[in-house]
Amino acid sequence: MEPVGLAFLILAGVIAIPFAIFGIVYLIVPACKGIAWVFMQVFNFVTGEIGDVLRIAGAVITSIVLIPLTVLNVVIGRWSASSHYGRAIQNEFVSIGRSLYRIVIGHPARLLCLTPLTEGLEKRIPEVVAAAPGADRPSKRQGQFDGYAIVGSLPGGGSGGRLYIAEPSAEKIAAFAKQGQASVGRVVIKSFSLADGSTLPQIVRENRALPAAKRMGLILEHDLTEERFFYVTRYVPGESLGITTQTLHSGAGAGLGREELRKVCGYATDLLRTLTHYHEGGLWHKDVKPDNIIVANGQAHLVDFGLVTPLRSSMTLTTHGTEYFRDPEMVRMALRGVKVHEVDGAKFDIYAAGAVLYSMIENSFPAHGGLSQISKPCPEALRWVVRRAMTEYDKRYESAALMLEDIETVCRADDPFAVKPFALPSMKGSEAAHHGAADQHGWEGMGGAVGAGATVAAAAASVGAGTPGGAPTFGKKPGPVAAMLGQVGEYVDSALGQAGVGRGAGPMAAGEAAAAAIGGAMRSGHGKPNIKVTNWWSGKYQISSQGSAVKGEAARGFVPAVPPAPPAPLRPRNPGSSAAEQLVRARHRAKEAQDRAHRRMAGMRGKPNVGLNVGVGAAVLVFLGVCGFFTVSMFKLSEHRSAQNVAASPAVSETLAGSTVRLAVTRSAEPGKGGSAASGTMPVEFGGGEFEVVVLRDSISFQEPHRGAIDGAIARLSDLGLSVVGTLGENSDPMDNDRVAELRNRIGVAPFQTTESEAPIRAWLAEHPEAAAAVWVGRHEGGEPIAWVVMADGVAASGTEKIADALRGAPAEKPKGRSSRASNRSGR
Amino acid sequence: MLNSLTTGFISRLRARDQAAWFDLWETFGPVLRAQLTKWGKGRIGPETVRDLSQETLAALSDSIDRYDPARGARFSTWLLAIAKHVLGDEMDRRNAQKRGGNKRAAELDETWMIASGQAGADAEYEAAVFRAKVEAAIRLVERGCEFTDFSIYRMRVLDGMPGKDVASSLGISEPTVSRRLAKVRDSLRVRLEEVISTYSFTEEERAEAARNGLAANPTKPDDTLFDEAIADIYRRQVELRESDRTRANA
Repeated sequence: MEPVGLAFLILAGVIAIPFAIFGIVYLIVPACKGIAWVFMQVFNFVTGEIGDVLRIAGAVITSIVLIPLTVLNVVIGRWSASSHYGRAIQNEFVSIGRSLYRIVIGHPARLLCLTPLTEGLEKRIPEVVAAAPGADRPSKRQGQFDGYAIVGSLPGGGSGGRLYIAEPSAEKIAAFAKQGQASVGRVVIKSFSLADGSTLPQIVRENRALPAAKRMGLILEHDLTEERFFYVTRYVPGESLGITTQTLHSGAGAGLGREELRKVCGYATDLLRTLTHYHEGGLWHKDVKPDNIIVANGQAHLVDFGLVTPLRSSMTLTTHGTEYFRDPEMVRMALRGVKVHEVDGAKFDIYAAGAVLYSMIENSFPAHGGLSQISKPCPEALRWVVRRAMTEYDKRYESAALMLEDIETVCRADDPFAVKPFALPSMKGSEAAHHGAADQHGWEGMGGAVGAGATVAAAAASVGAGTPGGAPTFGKKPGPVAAMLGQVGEYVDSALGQAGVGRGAGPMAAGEAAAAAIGGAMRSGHGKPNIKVTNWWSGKYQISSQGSAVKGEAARGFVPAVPPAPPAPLRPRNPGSSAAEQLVRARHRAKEAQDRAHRRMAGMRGKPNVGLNVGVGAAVLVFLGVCGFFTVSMFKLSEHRSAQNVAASPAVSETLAGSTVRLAVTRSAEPGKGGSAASGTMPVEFGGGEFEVVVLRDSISFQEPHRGAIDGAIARLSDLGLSVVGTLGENSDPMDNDRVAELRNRIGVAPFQTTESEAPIRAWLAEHPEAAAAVWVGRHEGGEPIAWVVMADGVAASGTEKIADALRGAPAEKPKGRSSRASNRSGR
Repeated sequence: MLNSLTTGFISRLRARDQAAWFDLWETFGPVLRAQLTKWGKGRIGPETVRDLSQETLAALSDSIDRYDPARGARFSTWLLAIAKHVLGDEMDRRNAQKRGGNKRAAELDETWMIASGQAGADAEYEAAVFRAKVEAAIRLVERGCEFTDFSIYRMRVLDGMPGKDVASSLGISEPTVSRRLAKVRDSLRVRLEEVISTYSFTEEERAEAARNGLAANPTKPDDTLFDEAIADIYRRQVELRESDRTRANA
C-alpha cells in the first residue's frame, strides 16, 4: 500500500474511533437501556400478572377456610366472632377484586405506559368515595328526627357524628321563635348513635357545653334519647374561609389588595365578635380554624361545637384541636395535667384567631407558630396584631374584645398601611399601663399611665360614636364590614336579644358605660369581678361585673331596645341532665341493653337451635377437628394469663366507689420476708414526707373523667403525708425522675399487674427503704384506669389500709407538722 | 461529661415525661422529617415520613433507658442513628412485603451510643440540628422577654427592618430601640447557651455556638455578626418549617 493510502487509512481510523465511541455511548448504550427497559416492563407485567393470579388463588383458598368458620360461629352463637370472620372474608373479596383489576387493567396499562390513564381509577376515585357524605337519611336504627324533614347530609368531621341538613316543621319554627330564635330556615342536625358506631366519650365531649350554648343562642335544640344524642344548629350555606382565602389571593399578585384586605378585616371582625360572645357566655370554642368558619353573604360564621368547653370546667385540658391553629403551650399544659379552670381558655381561642388572620394574609398556615413570618405586603399594625395574638400565653391579648379593637382601628383608617402599631388601642392602653414607668426604661411616646380598661373603653366609645352602628371602614366608604354590621348574623342578633340587648340606631355615647362594658367584657366570661383603676394617681378603682358586659356590646354598636334585663344566672335549665348525670344514665342504659342482649342470647341458645345444630353437625365436627388444636391453645393461653393476674393480687382487689378508677393492692404473700407485714417497720402515720410513694403512669394518656380521678387519687396520697414521686414536669427534681426511670428500667417490658412485673417492683422497693409503695396506673380491660399498688414489705397492715383508703377516696387527715417537700429533701 | 441541664433533660425523657418528649418532637421533628425525606429519595411519601419520625421517637423511647453517656455519642448522631434505623427497617419491611414474606421489626443495636463517624451525618444535617437548637433558644427568649421588647428584636433582626422604621412604628426613639435590642440579645445569648447545653452530649457540640458566630462573650462588632447569624438561621428555619408543612399537606 502506498504511504499516502496508509496515512489516509490511519487518519480515517483515528477519526472513526471517536465516532465509534460516540456511537456506542450515545446510541448503543441508550438503545441497550431501552431494550432492557422493555424487557423489564414485560418482566414486571408477567410477574405482576402471575403474582395477582396467585393472590386470587390464595384469597379463594383463605375464603374457603374462613366461610365455614363464620358459619360455625353463627351456629354456636358467637356473633362477635362470626362478624370478625365475616369481615375477614370481606377483605379477601376486596383483595380478589383488586387483583382482578390489576390483571385486566392495571398491569396492561403499565406495560403500555398508560399509567396516567389509570391514576384516576386508582387514586382519585377511592379518595372521593372515602370523602363522600354519608347517607342522606338516618339509618332505620336511628329513626327520624321528630319535627324535622331531612333534605341532605354533610361530610362528617373527626368527631364521629353524622351531619344532616333538615327543614324544621312549622311547629318547630314557632317553638324556636318563642325562644327568641327568629327566622330559622334550614338547620344542621349533628347526631351520634351508639348503634352507628359513635362512642360514649364522643357523646360526652360534644354534650358538655350544650346547655350553655343553647342559652346563648348558639344552638337551637339538643336531646339525648335511648337511641341517640343530637343537637341542632342553624344551617349556614357557604364556603369555608380556606376556600374564600384562596379566592382572595387568586387575583392578587404579591399580597392582598385594598379591597381584599378590607374583606379580611371584616371576616376577622366577625370571628372576634363571635369569640367575644362565646367567652362572655363562659365558653371556649377550642377548634377555631378556617375550615370551621363559613363565609356566607360576606359574613364569617364560626361553626362546629365539637370541642366547645366551659371556661370554668374542672376537667383536665386535652390536646384536641388542629395543628397550626392550636397553641403549642396548650399542649404542654395538657401534658402536664393542668385543669381547664386553672388557665384562661379564651387565650387559646385568641391564638387560633391570630393564626386564622395569618392564614388569610399569607394564604398559608403558620407553620412556625408564633414565630411565623408574614412575608406578603400587609399593614404593619395588622402584622403586630397577629404577633400579639400568637405570642406566648401570658403576653397575648387579654381578651378577644381587645384584639377586635385593634383590628377595627386598622379597618377604620383611611390608609391602613399608614397605621402604626403604637396607634393601636392595646398599645396605648395596656402597653402604657404595663410600662407605667415609661421614662425609667426609656420608653417614649406611650403616653402616661393610663388604665388599660379606660383607654380601650374610650376607643370603643369612639367606635360607637364615630361610626353609627360601629362599622369600621376604610376611608369613608362603607365596606363589607359596615354591611356586616348592618345585617349582623341572625344568631348573634337573636342571642343578644335574649340577653335583652337589641340593635339600635344611634351610638350610645356613654363613655362610662363603655368603659365598664369593655372592662367587664375583658374578663366577664369567667364570672370574676374586674377591678379597673380609674385614677392611677389617687389609686381609685372601679369594680365592674358581668352585667356591664352587656353594656359593652352597646358601646360597640348595639343599643338596648328595651331596658336591659338582668343577665340570666348561669344555672342549668334542666338541673337533672348535667353531663355527669347523663353519662351515668347512658352507662345504665348500656348496661341494661347488655343484659337484655345476654338474656336474648341465653334464650336463643335454649331454643330450637338444637335442630340447627343437628343439621350442620357434620360440618361442625369437621371444622372442630381442624380448629381444635388452635382453640385449645387459645383457651390455655387465656387461662395462663388469668392465673398470672390472680397470682398478682393475693390480698385485696376492689373497685373505687363512685369513681372510674379501679384499685388493686398487692402485699407480700410472705409476711416474714423482709419484715413483718403484720407489725411492720414503717409507722402507720406517714407524716413529714419521710416516706414516699412512687407513681408510674403509663404513656397511654387517659382522658377525662379518668384523668381527673387519677389525679385526685394521687393527690390524696400526698394528703396522707407521703412524698409522691413521679409527677414529672419541667420543675421536677431530676433525682426523682431518675428514681422513676430506674424503676421503669427495672420493670422493662413486663406486663402490667403480673407476677413478672411484681418481682422487680418488689426488689426495687426492698432496695429503697424510704419507699412505702409503688403505684402503677394502667388500663383495665374496659378502658378505665386501674391503680395497682405494690406495698413495700415493711408497711404495717393498717398503713396499707390507709394508703388504700386514700386512693379509694376516703378523706385523709393531714398529719401535723408536715413539712414541705423541699425541706424534706434537704433534711435527708 | 454531661452537664446538669443535659442530665436533667435525659432523666425527664427516661421518666416518660410527656412534656419533655413534646419539646423534643417540636424542636427536632422538622429536622428529622427533612432528613428522612432526603434519605427516602422519593420512595416514601409525606405520610410515611411523618409516621417514621414518630417511630423514631418511639424507638428512642424504648432505648433511652439503655443510654450510656460515657460512650461519647453526639446528640445529633443520637437522633440520626435512630432515624436511620427506623427508615432502614421500614424499607426492609417493604421489600419483604413485595416478596410476599413477612419481616419482623429489626432490633435497634446500640452503635448509636458510640462516638464514631459511621452514622454518616452530613454537614447539612448537623447544621439543621444546630439551627433547631437556636430556634428553641429564640422561643425561650420570646417566652421570657416582654412582648414589646421581643417584637423590637423581631422587627429589627428577624424581619430586617431598619432601626428608624422600628422606632417610628412603635413611637419610640432609636436609642430606645438599641437598648431594648441589646437587652433581648443578651437574653438570647444566655438562653442559647442553656439550650445548646441541654441538647449536647459532647464538649465539641457545646462549642458549636462559638464556631458559628454566636459566641457567649462578645465584643461590640460581634453583636452585628450575632444578629446576622441569628437572622440567617431564623430564615432557614422558616424555610424548613414551610417545606415541612407543604409536605404534610401535599
